[in-house]
Amino acid sequence: MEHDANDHTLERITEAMVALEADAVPKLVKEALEAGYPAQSIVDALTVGINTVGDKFESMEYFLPELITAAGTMDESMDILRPAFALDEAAAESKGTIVLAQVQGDIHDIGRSILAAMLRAARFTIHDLGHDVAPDLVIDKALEYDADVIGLSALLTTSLPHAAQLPRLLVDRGLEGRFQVALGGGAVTPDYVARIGADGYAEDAAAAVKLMHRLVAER
Amino acid sequence: MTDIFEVLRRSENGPYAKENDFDMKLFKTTSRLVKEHGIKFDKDIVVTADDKMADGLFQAGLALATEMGMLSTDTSRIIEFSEQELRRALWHAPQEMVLGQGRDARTLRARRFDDGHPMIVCGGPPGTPLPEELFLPVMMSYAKEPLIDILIPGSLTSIEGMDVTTGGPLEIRACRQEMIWVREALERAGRPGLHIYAAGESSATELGTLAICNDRYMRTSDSHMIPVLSELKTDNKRLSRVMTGYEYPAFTTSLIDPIIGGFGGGPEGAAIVLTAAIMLSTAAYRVDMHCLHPIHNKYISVSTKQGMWVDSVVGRAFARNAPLALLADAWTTAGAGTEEILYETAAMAIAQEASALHTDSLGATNGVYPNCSGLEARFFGEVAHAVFEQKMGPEEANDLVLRLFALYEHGFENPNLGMPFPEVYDVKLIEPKADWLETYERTKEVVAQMGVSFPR
Repeated sequence: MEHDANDHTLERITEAMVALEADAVPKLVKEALEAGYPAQSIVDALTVGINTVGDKFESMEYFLPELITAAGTMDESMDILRPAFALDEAAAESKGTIVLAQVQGDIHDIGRSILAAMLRAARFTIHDLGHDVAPDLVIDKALEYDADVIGLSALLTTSLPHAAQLPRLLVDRGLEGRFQVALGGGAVTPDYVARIGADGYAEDAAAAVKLMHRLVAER
Repeated sequence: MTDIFEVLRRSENGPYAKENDFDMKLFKTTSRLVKEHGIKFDKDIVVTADDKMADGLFQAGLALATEMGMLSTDTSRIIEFSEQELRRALWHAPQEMVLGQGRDARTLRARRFDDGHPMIVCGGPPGTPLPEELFLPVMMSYAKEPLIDILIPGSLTSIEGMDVTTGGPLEIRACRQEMIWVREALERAGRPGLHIYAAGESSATELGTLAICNDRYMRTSDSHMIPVLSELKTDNKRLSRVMTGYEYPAFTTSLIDPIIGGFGGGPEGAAIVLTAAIMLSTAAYRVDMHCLHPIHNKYISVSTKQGMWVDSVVGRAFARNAPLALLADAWTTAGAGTEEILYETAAMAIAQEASALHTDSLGATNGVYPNCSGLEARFFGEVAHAVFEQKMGPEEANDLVLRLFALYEHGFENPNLGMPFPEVYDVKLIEPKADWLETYERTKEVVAQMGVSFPR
């Protein structure tokens, strides 16, 4: 369908996302669908908006609650768009499925929450298992969700040995190579990741998003 | 005063709250209080002299503590305190305490501006992973520094070649061994009575604290740490540490790490959250002192402008309104052997001294690598004492901190992690190697030329 050059529906969706108008965005998405915009064009408009939110978070113009709000708005909008994806499969495609967890013995949440919101914004399917999760349970859940990547976060040095168990358990359970394994968090170093046989390290959430793209592509 | 049993009752019977709802309410409440009380971070004013804003921060923190309370994540109940209970807890908080024993004892005071007392300098590698073979020499490098008033241990990461894991039996052994070696380091340095601060750093759970409640390990003249979970939360593990301290009369300190950019919002919100957490932990934990550790959401380090400002304005707020013993962490991006760590050290020492704070030690590379040594702690003490003797005011301190910041800010994107301890120190003599000593002397001269008057 052709749209008038003065029709700023898609720009308005982007603006509303950037302005964190959590109620307005889903309404605008519905209106755009009804007006005949292709689902992909609407997703693109949402993506421009949420990427701007991510940039503002990086520059401390926005904060974690705002990032979480934007990620939730993105999820809600994608739910509205899902029926239209039957006609536009490219737009529906998840970038990959990731199981996230804070390693056993570590009760920190905030860094992982930032990462989960940024990955959702990048259109990954995220299953966040929370904190203090035993490595064997992480593997069970990765199997259940047919994950591409297992992402572990560790802020405590003494919780790192639990992270080291995960690659070993994958071998012992005959699942070596089934998932890509990534680590991050304040206690983790690139050397440690290499030593325990994991597949990737990221020093912060922005780097982790890039890493997940790479790990999914390499799978 | 609210005792631990009343705190436990409230953690079982307080208002129910889902953690996500608590987090979002915190953000909304903090955002409102930032506006109501005119709290404003200015990137050109890292060391604040703004008494009006500091007083507003104190009121905002009190309002946040009263409106939010402290969430127990185990019971999903809010431990509430009235404003009167919080004020009473602050009123009763210790104003002066003798840490350590004999000739090595030091008096830690709730600081006020111009009270004539310099800061207490805490030295050591907090949270830094140290293997068995490095633990004693690293701790000796700090114990030998005369300007260090109290000593914080590093984290022992292995025992008998096995990794120490959170909640595992080796946490018990590691904490006991940590204390034995720290004590030995102090004895070999001829300072056997020095206060060991935050004893049990090798354990992230209550196991470690319980394991060392014995005069052979943690003396009653030492202290242990009870964290507040970010933001304004606690749980049964933290409250178990409070219970441990209830009957074992060692000193206690809180650990508060507000995230700048997290649920409290930017630096202004983080300052309010930190203020509220100090008040809540004074009431709920009855700690004797507090460890302040604002965390930048991207760069982690306290040496960011935002981190130093949060400490500065909070220090000013309490010094003016309800003096407490506040010790600010000084975590750096850079590691031992570099100029950058010394510039970060100098900036934080100046900012803390000019904000009526004590220091809670210098965590090189944000405690990730064992790239630490006593020499950078010596420099911290030298700068802090020089600034105190100069009676440097906040405006002059701010100017100096900004100039120092320009010398190390490049490191946030590209950290100079420096070198592990054995590469910067002779591990037998426990003395800095020539290169590290030369870097220290050269950097000290630069800092002196910038306006810090070191004794000659």
